[in-house]
Amino acid sequence: MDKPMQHSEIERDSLIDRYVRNTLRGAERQSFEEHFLDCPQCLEQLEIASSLRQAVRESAVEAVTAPAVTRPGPWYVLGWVQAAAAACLVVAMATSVVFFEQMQHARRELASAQLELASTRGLASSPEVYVLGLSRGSNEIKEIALPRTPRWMVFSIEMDTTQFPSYRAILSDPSGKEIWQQAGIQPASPDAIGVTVPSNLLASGSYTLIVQPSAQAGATLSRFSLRFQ
Amino acid sequence: MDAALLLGGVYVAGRMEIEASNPADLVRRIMAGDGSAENELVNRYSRGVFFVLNQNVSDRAAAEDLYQETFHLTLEKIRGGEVREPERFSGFILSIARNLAIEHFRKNTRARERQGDENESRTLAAPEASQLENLLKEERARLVHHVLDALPSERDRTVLRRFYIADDEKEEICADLGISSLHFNQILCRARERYRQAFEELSGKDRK
Repeated sequence: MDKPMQHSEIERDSLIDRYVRNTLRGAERQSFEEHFLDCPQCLEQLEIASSLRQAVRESAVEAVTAPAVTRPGPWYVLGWVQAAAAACLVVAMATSVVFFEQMQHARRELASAQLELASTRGLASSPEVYVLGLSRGSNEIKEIALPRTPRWMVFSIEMDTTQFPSYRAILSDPSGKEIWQQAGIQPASPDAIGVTVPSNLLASGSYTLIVQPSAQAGATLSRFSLRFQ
Repeated sequence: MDAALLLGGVYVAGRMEIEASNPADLVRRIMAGDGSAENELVNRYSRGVFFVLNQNVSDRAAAEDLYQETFHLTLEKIRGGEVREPERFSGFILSIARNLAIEHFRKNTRARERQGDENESRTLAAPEASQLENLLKEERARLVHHVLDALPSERDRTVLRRFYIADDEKEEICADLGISSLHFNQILCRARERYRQAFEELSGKDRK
């Protein structure tokens, strides 16, 4: 039987934070889950860490989307203590808000770039989702109807995603020529990854979609035969 | 209906009293028809199971449903003698919870695919926040202001934000801010402890 996890190990390896940030993977994640399921001490720490993380993230959104902060009255009607405190708070908040605004600006730019890319490609903003399950040793070909209007096609690939931190997906035509590649795919859940392909890249015909770990090119984890019509 | 499932789908809050019964003992007693052992099992594992499900399923209502199903199925399997390694019971109940979450995910994805609803966004997108979620969000906002205000320096606040918002790695944050790993851990511990205290103050509970 595996050695039970020790609290010293949990603290040393920052397992609580890694778990709530979803960067704890594989056997280590499994062992930790088996431990904390029956450990009120760790469970409490996890709940607090998870809630705190969520609260900090929500406060960041609030800081840059909230309406203008209610200003205190004109400074000359405040006592000098209150005025000094208000000034310090404004400076502290300004620093924080600048950081948040930079991050939010970066995020807005990214979202805008993605939309621009989609519109450049003439893609509708709502995707089509297809599930690709694991077939047991067969060469089953999945028939897929191409969308009538260009849009993103999201392939939800069922697989164990706990072994590697990120993945690469490659779509090839029958001659083996690579027509689309998506790298750095982070799993959205322990059992699936999403691969996003613009439909206007595809024509009717047969393709092969393979999934590899990002760090191990050539090590195919999943392979699917697709026929688009 | 199993008495344990009348909890209503929300984990049992508060400190759990881990009695002398070890998992193997609980399994044996449940197989012998001991109803109190079933309650004890649910009390013991409910909080952890709910936490794991909440981490894997974005919809809280779905997580609560899966929580109910997990215990229903677990008790069924115990009574049916399907627990092969009672000493590894945590792993057993976790695998049930995970499989139910996976099945939930697959059903949702297939349902959307069949409906061909072009307005649906990707499978794991959270639904519109319920009233409960909004209330929880407001409470978290109050608590986190307490935490951030109580941190001794702006650098400490930056650590928290970079770690929890930007998801920067600990080593990178420490290198950029010139702080040690130990100091980093202390900042996080202080923040979590302050958050816990703020929660207790707001809710009026004494967890001692």
